[in-house]
Amino acid sequence: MAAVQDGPIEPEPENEIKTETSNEVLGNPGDASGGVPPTAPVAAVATEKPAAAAADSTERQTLLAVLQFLKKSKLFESEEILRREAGLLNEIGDSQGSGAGGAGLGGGGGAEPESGDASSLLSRVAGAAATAQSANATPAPAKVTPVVTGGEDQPDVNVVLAAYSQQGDPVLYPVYYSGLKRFIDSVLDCHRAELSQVFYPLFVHMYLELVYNQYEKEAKAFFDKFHGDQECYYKDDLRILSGLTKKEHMKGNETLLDFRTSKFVLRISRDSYQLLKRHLQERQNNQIWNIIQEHLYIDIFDGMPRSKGQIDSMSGSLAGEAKREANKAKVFYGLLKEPEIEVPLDDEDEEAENEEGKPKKKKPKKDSTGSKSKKQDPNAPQQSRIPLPELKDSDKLDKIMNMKEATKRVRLGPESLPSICFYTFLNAYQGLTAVDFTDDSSLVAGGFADSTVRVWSVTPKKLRGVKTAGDLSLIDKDSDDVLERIMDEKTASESKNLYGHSGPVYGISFSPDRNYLLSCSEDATVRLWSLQTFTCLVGYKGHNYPVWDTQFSPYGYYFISGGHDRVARLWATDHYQPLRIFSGHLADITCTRFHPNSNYVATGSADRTIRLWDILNGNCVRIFTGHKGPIHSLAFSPNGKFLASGATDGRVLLWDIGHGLMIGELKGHTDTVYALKFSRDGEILASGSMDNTVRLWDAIKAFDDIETDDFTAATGHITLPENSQELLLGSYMTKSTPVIHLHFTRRNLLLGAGAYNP
Amino acid sequence: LPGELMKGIAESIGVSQMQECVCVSECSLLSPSVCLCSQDALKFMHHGKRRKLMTSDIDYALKLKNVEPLYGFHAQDFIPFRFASGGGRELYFYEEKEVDLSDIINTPLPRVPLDVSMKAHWLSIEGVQPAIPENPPPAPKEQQKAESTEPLKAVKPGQEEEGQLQGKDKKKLLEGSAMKLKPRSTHELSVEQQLYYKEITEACVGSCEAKRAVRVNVVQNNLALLIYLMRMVKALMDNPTLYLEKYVSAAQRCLALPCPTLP
Repeated sequence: MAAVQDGPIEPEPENEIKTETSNEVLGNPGDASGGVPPTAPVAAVATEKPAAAAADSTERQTLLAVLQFLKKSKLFESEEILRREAGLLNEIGDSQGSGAGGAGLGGGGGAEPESGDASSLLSRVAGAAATAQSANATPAPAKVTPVVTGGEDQPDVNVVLAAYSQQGDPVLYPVYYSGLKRFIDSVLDCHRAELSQVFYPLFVHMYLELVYNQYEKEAKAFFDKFHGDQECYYKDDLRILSGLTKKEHMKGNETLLDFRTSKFVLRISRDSYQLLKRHLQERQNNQIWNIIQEHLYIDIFDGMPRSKGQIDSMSGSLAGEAKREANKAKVFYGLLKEPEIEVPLDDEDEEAENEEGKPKKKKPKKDSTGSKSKKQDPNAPQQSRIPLPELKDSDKLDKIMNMKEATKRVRLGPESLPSICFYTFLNAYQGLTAVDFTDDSSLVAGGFADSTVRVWSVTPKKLRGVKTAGDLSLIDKDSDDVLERIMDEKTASESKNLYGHSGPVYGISFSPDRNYLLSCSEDATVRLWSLQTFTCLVGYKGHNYPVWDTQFSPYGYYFISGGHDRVARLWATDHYQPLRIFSGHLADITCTRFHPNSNYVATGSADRTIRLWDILNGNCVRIFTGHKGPIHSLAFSPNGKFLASGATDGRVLLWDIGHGLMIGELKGHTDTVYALKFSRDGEILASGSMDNTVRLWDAIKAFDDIETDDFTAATGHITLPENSQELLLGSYMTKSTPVIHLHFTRRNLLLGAGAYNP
Repeated sequence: LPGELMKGIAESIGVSQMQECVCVSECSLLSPSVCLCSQDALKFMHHGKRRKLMTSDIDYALKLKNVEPLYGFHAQDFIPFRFASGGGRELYFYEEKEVDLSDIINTPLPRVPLDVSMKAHWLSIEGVQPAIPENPPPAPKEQQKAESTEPLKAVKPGQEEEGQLQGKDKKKLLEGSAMKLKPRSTHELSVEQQLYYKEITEACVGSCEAKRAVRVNVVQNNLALLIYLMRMVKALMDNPTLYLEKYVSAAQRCLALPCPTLP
């Protein structure tokens, strides 16, 4: 195969060879195909690899490739250090290959002598391969990292996967694993639960190493032997893993790749950690120790080891738990101060308020809620931290209405349960995918799988659009009721259809001022619709994959969207590009919600974590783990301190945002919880689920016990009381109608929505 | 994925005689893609707020990976796979019928499905679920039993002490019987009527020969009414929501009374 090629060669075929042969054993040392004039060091790498004969490890090859690259880049010192550490003989590198020269090098440039070098280098290495074989048995992890610098064409993918090229004897993997199992079984009870956390990540990484190094049989045997031992909540992940049997499969899966690069976080107490460390270091189990060092991040804390129950409640996410530092940033969870508005005295007569911009001319009363606390709440963000839109006159009127309704609000509690009015969508043929209510509960919108969005009026007042331009020019602009005249009575109807998307609509959100409607869909766009004209105004293109959820900020103007591309984007209605991009999740973002003060955004994801992001600087300020399935619903408590989340595992978890802890677990639903809402004053949490029920939980009691426990914030773990039954205030079954959305009206009447699914 | 699969697919295209190892290797290449595709399809199903995986989910999942979706598999419920077995192998296939174009053009248009509409009802009024038709039937037998035998034990509205799964099964039964009962008017059978029914059944189908003969004579006149009545009572008995045990003790007491009246 001593082919002599004269002209320059396209890099592509070279790269293909490179990626496929990086692990293959090819050729004959004698056929040093160094005759190929490399156009790039990459190409040189490619051609040299086939030449490196005899059943040798990939590590060897990559090492040499790196050496060669370093030489080419004139990083001689690094090259020397690496060579010394790798144990290669100096003479191999120095000699100018006469044998290679004879192969007839075409082309020119500085690349030539390198290829000659490398080929001779490799030919010698091949010869020395047999002797060097034994040195490969226990490679040190440090050798692996230089591989990272090897200039390869797909740096991120191959580099990541090349991290697995360290060799251990594949047959010994089960032995190592069983050895560890035996050790952990033998430790004291209090440590066993904590050390057992190591099993799952270790199992996965060892399995993936075997697959990457193409030991299919051993990988399968390893999987079959040990997958049953893992915790039940990792079942889904294990199922995916069982399908991966070849190296090529690993490349297509982004989530898996991210899983490899990010470290799996474990929280272990110092004592347990010492035990483990001592055990692994005194034996020859370097393999396990290597994996632990590379792929696991062990967050050590001083204190009592955790019990199995405590660990189980916090684990389940794709990347382990959250590091303590991740939850230490200060979060301003307080609410923004309400602006002062002059409230007209007349409470009974609400008719006069309807006309915009015409408050009653009675003696105005100062709004009390605004002026109550002059002092800034230390937990609340500055008023101007996030620029918020100014209040228009219509907004002020809205707020006045809000306050009036608030006075008529029913006080809820365990003795006084809310009444539930349920809106059933009939004839939806399993097509209803999203629902939202306006804040004043006058309109309801539904997103459907046939890509339509429909808006219904809940009140007897019909939906009217603005007249066409032709008609508008005819009306008398100076008349008093011009705002009524611009509305078109002829096409007034109970419901309006909005067409525009080209895929199922997965998320819907009304703007607080009831002028706009947002919808996000599988077609990767978010659309803004006007509720005055019932037409589409803007399409925001940024995600290239289905967008699963969207929501307007409680103050309007900003909105958030999250989708399959694993990032959440913050947009402003008047910018066609996002203002912020929040990336960090390992799997797609399934649910996005704004905090009541509009400074933070919570995203729930299919990687089973919830992250809280600061929209000012895009930082992730909290990571909450504990769910065992993708999260489909989030709800902030009205006081901004707590977050409730619901997932496919049917559990509702309660989180304290300030401390970054899980403070409650509400068990009861048997299927995915799609709807979560707190009552207007935060006394009751309502949850709706695919199991056709609406459940009411006592929120005050759930949060009560936890307020005083400050010492837990230091260690970061608490024991959750098993009080779901006590907290459950009521459970209401619908007639085969999964509950998709819940909304508390301003008077604390609970509205539910779902599609009848016989 | 078994190697048989690949063999079947090859044969359907027309490639016969594929080697075993080729089949197996092809299958192993295929399985993770299928796995990943179904994982993605599951995501679409979850976001579509459904429990059933539809063909559209799989189509969208393929679209995600820049693969053309499969055409021709739109079905309301289940894809009508046909089963065939022969030559030691079982096969499920989708029968692609060839239909004459003129037939399709000339068939009358199917009925337009009803449009989506929205209807409101009270799911709960101040904590209590009203017994209106839009709500599922009230508490099942067990709960009524609990209520009658242990009135002191407070049971919260809608709380089922048995596992939720049982509740689901019951619900299906409830639906079934609710449907059955709808065309009939639900009368509350008085104790006497129940007693009467008991007597009648005993007389008609009981083992005592003499009793039977007598009873049949008496009853012949209003046989139709009797049958109606019996069917109704059977429906009532079958209805798991109505707990008749409450009345049984009363019935037993009265049983002694009519006995002397029998000739």
